[in-house]
Amino acid sequence: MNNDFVTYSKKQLDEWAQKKLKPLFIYTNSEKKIEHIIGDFNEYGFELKVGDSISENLPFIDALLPIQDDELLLDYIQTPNHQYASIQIKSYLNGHVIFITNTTKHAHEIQEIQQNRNELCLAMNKIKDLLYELNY
Amino acid sequence: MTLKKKIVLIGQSGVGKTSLVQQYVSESFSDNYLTTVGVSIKKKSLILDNQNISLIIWDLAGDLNYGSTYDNYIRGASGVLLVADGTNTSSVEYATSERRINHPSIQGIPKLLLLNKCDLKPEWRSNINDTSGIKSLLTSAKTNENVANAFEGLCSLILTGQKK
Repeated sequence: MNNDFVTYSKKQLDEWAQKKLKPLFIYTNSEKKIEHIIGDFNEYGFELKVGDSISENLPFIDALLPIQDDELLLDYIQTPNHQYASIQIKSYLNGHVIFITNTTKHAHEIQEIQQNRNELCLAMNKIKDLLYELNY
Repeated sequence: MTLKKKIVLIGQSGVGKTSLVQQYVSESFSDNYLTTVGVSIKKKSLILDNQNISLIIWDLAGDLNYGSTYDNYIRGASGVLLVADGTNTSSVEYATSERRINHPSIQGIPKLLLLNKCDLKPEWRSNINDTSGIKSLLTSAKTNENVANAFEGLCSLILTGQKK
């Protein structure tokens, strides 16, 4: 891999690690096989090793490859062990670089806000329907 | 050979998308409502017309706004389940609106409209008006009515489309 890219990736991973985002770096080749992994993939409930096929081990990413633009970002993906991850995919050489960070804390904060709002919306809809039935 | 197919569930918050997936994949149901953040992805293997299929089910949060994030989530889908709650007429309008049905990322792929919560049919309003022309199915994640038919019916439409 290109040295500039390796330096950039390591710097990025260090930054994310300092922010306790538990970064994971994966590089897949043109055949969607994993060539490099850095980080703790168990954190996300993935079972991965070099040589594994993305199609078999990360099937939800497989459906997105090859990406159409240079970069693809997916926020708040629930992982097999009920964590939330942001997934950034970049085209590199003939393969793809996949950066994964843990966004569980933020997702739970959003969930609490959304939950309250949605419960309110559901209640409002019920009231609206009841009023309709009563011909108001 | 196993065919891998991505399908997405789209619909307003609280219509039962996650419950339908839970019932189909894990054969379980919970009355507790917990909103989905982002997307939850589940996998289910099935055999249809002697064909092994690995279904990757993307259950999208009802709160998702439009824009690049939404586009990224639905990209690469082979089929769409548009989910509405029969007790909530606005959810039917939401699921069958032009901007959802004719979104560029899902144009031309099979779609099925699920009118969920059919176990509460007595509570349904009489003026549910679906003019989308999309094939629809009454489902209940709670009683498991038509849940497998919904997912497998969409798969059949995908396979039929593939043969053409």
